[in-house]
Amino acid sequence: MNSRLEELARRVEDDPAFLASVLAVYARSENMDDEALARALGCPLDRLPALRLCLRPRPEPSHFQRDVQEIATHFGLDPDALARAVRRADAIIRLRGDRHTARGALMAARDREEPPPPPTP
Amino acid sequence: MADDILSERPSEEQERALHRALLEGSRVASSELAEAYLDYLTQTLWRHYRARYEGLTLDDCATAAGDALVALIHHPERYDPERGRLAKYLLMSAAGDLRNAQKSAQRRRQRLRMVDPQEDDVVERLAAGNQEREDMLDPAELLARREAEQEARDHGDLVREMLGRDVSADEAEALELWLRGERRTEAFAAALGCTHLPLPEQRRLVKRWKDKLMKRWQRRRQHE
Repeated sequence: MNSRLEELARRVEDDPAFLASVLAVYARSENMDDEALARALGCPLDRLPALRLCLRPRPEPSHFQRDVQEIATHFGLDPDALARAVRRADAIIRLRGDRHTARGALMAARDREEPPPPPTP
Repeated sequence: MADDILSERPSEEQERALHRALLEGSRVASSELAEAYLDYLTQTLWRHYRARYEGLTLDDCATAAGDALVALIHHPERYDPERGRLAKYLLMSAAGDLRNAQKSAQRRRQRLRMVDPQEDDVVERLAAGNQEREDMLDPAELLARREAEQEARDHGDLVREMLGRDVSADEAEALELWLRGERRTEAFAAALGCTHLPLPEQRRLVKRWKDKLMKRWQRRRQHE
């Protein structure tokens, strides 16, 4: 396996433009190591770094299926497995985002809370 | 710079196709780009710059190469195929990143050496990520310490008058060395009579003595 390619693939896990970011979330949610992830996607283990360096499928319905198919064809993957992995990761990311938003809204609401009225004599 | 190895890379036609694919939103072009150029860029940077930059590693080159690739993947429109080959563009971009990173690293090293020429081993240990030495300081802390020492030396007579009467004969000799700007550990170790100890221990004792001296000086000044 090309270790430089692997290192670059790890570096872009924080970059949401890359498939690496989505696969990292998916693998963590399923407790998968690289071997298990490669097996789940039907990808040879030594092609995993190159797969991670793809751009992630665009979420718009007009693009999603075509993008998944392009990646799957290029790497000989099961397109359904890839689509499932991406959708699952997106759902997790959305959920985290919603939680952050919900927490933010709650904190903002608390900030806006009026002080309790003074005790009546 | 890149012309000598361009033949190993994708042909001009392949480069244009790759760039077009990036512009058109292909999902796999980024991966193909990285596979085609990462090693080439890394090796080329290493070949051209290893003699120029002290302490340069292959990893530094791989990082700069990766940065250049990721930048192009995010902004393929910044490359204009009419102005030259893609390999050359990527190499120039990576070389720019590498130069900036190396200049920063060199500035850090020079700053440390300017602050204390005897700290060369600190520079090496920092570069090696070795944090084991007790007197390891970050550059800002080291600079502050050296500035305080210089300030004290500028008031040499006052320091002699204020501290000289409280020190032993050995310490008085070391104090004179220090006021003359001596930096070598062995000179202080000889004055303080600890040359029989291993060098790391000598360093620790000399540093402790200097720190104590500075604290006494600063305390006295506050009380004046």
